[in-house]
Amino acid sequence: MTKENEKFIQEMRVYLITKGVDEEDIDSFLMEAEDHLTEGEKEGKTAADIFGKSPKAYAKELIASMEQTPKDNRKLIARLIAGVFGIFLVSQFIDGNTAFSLIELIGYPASTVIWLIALIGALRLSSFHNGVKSFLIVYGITMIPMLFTVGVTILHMEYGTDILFLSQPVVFTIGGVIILGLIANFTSLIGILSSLVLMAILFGSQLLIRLFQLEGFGWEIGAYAVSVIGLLLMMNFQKQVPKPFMKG
Amino acid sequence: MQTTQMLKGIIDGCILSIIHEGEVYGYELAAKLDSYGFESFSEGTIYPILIRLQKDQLIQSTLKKSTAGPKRKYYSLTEKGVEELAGFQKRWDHLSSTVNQILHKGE
Repeated sequence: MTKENEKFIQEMRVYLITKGVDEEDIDSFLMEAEDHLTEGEKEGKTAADIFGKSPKAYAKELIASMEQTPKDNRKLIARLIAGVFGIFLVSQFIDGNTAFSLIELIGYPASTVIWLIALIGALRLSSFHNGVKSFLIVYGITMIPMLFTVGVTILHMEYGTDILFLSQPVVFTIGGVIILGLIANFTSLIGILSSLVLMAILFGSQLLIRLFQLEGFGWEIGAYAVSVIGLLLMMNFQKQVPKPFMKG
Repeated sequence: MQTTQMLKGIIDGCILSIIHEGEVYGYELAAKLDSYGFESFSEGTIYPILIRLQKDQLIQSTLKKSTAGPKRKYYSLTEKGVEELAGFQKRWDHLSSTVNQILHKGE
């Protein structure tokens, strides 16, 4: 398949996922779309010739025909909230934070929800744009929840008193369960190998900082940069190895 | 009025009729519509229609291995689909003869 057609399939998948379309329906449609694009390619037809000039408008038409029920959306949102909160909690543990104040206990779940709204919004808005523009949209929008999270941390440092203390074994158990849950959560979306790579990217740099006891803001920024670059590399890799659309 | 606007109400019936001729997969269906003269019809439009027809239980699909390699979804009519097609044919015959009478009344 041409790069343009691959991009169409990949972006359609992301857009439909963020709209809460059932994965089975997405796989089923993308299998046909890919087949159609491949056949069309032989006659010199592009994705725009087949699916129209606006992939977004086409996706909306498709969703209208599927008539998504709110239940399907709720499932995806619950999964994403659990995912984002899990990632957040594990990074707190790795950072050595095992005692939580009331500000943290309320602020962090709230920031999880804001993260989620921002991420879904960013993915929807960035669909069907070119690489740089889509990266800037995602980056710009995710700055909002990041600032909120930083705000909660600053508030906690200024006014927070720890009220919940977790012991080392409890931290390891919860952390382990969350990581396994995260891998299971992402496996159905991006495959097991990519999920493992994602975990390594998300927590690897933080873990290294902790292991080597590297202190300072510079290292933190560095770790964040490594995570972002890693994610981008992974997204690029995902594009080149299209996931097989049929199960079994 | 654009042809595509006029087509909206009748394309379902045309698709049912083509599927009735024999099992087809998406690209094949689009190619057949094209060969019957629906050149301006955007090919991708058939998928939302196919999803809707399947949801209304007028058509069903089976996965079969294609010569090209990957599996393909082939569509066929259900009993309800055959009935709907017969109903469409009646409605269309009536509509087209009425419209023709009006348009060619002076001839």
